[in-house]
Amino acid sequence: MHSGTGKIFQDVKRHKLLCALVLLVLLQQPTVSGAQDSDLTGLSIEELMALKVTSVSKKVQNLSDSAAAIFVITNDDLRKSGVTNIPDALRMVPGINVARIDSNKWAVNSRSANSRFADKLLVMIDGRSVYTPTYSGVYWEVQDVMLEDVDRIEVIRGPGATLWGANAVNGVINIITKHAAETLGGLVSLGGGNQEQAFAGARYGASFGENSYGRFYAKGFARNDFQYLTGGDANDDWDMARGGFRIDSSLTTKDSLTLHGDIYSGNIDQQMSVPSSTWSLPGGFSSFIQDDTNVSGKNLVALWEHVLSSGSKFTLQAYYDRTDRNEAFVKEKRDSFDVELQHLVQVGERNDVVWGARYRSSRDDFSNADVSILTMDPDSRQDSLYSAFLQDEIMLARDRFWLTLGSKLEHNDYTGSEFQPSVRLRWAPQSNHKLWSSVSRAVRTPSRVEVDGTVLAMIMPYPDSFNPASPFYNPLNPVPVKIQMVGSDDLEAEKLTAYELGYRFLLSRDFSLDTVLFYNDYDKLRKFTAQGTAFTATGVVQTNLATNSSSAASKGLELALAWQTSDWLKLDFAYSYLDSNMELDRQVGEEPSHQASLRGFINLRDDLDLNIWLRYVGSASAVYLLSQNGWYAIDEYATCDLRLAWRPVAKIELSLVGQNLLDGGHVEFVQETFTLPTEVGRAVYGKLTYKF
Amino acid sequence: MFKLTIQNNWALVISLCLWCLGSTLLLPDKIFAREGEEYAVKAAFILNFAKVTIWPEKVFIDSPATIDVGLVGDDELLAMAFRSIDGKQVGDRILRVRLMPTAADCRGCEILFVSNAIERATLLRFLTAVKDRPVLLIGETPDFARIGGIINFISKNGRLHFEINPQEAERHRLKISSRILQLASIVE
Repeated sequence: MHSGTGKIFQDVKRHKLLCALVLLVLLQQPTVSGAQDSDLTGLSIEELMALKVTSVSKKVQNLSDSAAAIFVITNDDLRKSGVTNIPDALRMVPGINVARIDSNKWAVNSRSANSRFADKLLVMIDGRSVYTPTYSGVYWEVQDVMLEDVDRIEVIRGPGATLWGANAVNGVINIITKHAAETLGGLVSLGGGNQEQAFAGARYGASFGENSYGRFYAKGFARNDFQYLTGGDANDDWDMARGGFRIDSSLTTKDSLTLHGDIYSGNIDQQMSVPSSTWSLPGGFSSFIQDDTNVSGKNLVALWEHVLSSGSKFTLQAYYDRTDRNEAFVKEKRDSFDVELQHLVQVGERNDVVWGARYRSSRDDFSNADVSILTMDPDSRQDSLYSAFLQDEIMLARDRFWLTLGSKLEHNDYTGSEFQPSVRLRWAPQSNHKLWSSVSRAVRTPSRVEVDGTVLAMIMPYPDSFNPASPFYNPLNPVPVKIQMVGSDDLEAEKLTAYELGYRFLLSRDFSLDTVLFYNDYDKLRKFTAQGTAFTATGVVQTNLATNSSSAASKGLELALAWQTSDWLKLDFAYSYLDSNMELDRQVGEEPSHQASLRGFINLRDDLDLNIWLRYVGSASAVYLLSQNGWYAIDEYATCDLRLAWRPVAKIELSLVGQNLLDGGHVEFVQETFTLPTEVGRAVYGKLTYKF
Repeated sequence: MFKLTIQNNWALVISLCLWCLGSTLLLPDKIFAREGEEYAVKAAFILNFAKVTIWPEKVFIDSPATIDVGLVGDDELLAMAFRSIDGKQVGDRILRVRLMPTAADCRGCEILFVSNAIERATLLRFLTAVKDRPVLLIGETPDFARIGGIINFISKNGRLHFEINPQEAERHRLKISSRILQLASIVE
């Protein structure tokens, strides 16, 4: 029908159209952003003050100046991830391993093998330490805030002991809520789904007086049971209610005061097989209990900041914190009082000095629990901690080279004085290329259980009880062997020397890369060593005593990439590689070697967001007393979360979230003993947020 | 020929549809939702501040036609955001935006914006360098207006406000319109 020339003509026409199309699409964005800029510069001050401000690059900018492996979760990251609790949010951070044990328990650790009782991570909420001295870990299930009011979560991997003190060994997590001036007005959110059965939260903020702002909030949730790997309800449903307030006030132009407090209460269900000295079949020397743990707590924090002069300011913070935990095997009350002074002062042109002092007092009280697995001697104890630190940041070459030297000196009631120095060097060969390196020492002081506690780990029948040739032959009523872990007064602090090397590259506002290599050398790690067996009237007792007889090393690589590919798509990638030999002593499991997280933020329309979160965690293992060889192997898993949010009007957001969508359920971790492997299943919930 | 026209029309319709779809899908929500990227908004504020500030005439002897705006902070990012006000007319002068790598460079500036992406030591060095000069010092560090700065951005509920220290303005021999003072929080 067409001649050759006609075809060519047609092709050219087609190409022209194609070119025009491409041009149209290409032209679209520059015109838009151009229009936006001129739009802004034409506005008056009053109009500018009414404008809502977004800051995409702030995080990258502030971070690029620290000589430490730091990652920040912003308020936006939290909202768009669809997470409903703090530990799940930490899954986006390279170097951090988060594993949900069951509906209400998490294992979280940094650069190390994981455990429900992971003991080298310091966690703070608005300057208040929530790490418990009882077992040197964090009860993640009771750590919560109004997520909408979180300004950011700063996660520092590696030691932070020079500033934060003992126990900031593998990392420091700072959960920071917004200044009260940032949360004016009301916010109501509510929703529900299959795992998140129902949740609701409300906050109201107002200004009063000339320079004072305040807010209060209340929230609550009910979460459903998970399922055992073997099927059946794990009976681990829970609910929690929480409320609090915050006041920020500028008393004078040089003084500001912050006062905040929270109160919470919750019921946490769990079922366990616990050691029992009575032989029964089936079950042996164990009994099954269904526990309804009641937890509650309250805290009050006051912070005063005073500017002395242009190069000098000090802050004074004091707080009181109370926690109560009534678990079947532990009934614990703890009152802590903490006061800390910090002074920042400029010395000459090149020295930035910060020094501080801290006093902490913590008093616990363990009363008799229903099941005597854990005994403390003495059952009540008051411990004091005094510390002082000094750090100096010296600019060696103007805007190019910085050296930070510092140390903390701390005195505690368990191990006496501890010295925790660090040296950090930062080099900015160009403004968008930054290199840093550090050598630091951190210690973990023994926990109350490791010093004064006795834990009955399990009771098993004496093997000879089933051997007809043995004098102990008694298959119907076998001799019990009690295996117990006993604390020791002689325990010293665990020590870490960490070597880190980091590189940050900021191509533009739209692309940044942050990578860290580290080597950790641990010494005097706590290990429970068998002390032989004793024959008593009630059976055989095998004691494992806490000693500092272990050492280990770990090395790893962490990578974080952020890429705003276009106006409508942003990608955030995190990868971690970790290799440690901690499992050799069989006191902890094996860490996952590889972990990856990819978050995609898609702006479908002005009022429509789609967020995709893909995660991979390599295979690992956990110490598991109920298995034959003492280990439980955890398979690798890959999963995906999706969130679709629609804002029909500016004040209302409706979102639908699906979590762990790729499989029906997977095991992420297993608690050392007492409980069964529980699957983290598929979850879906809907949420409505209304702001006024 | 007839067929070609039809194809042309179809292509036109399709490209128009695509364009419309693209516009709705790809448009950033900034225009409609009245939002602005933080530093672009701060730049627009600074343009306004330049319009309401009176400098002593002698500061313009060296460069009579320009008001020099110095930027202190993370070079690439700041410069990109402030490009929007570079060359803007203020009275009979134009704004000229430049990055200030060292404190010694900023002596010829009429306005200095110090971002919070720098070391505290650097901040103090810059403030000291222009201590007695007629430079409008604008910052975004919580205590900026208390340690020698004149205007400081503060954020309230995701919106930008600012505080002014009038005594510092006076010390730097600058007159700032009282209309602006009324919108600001005053630091004494």
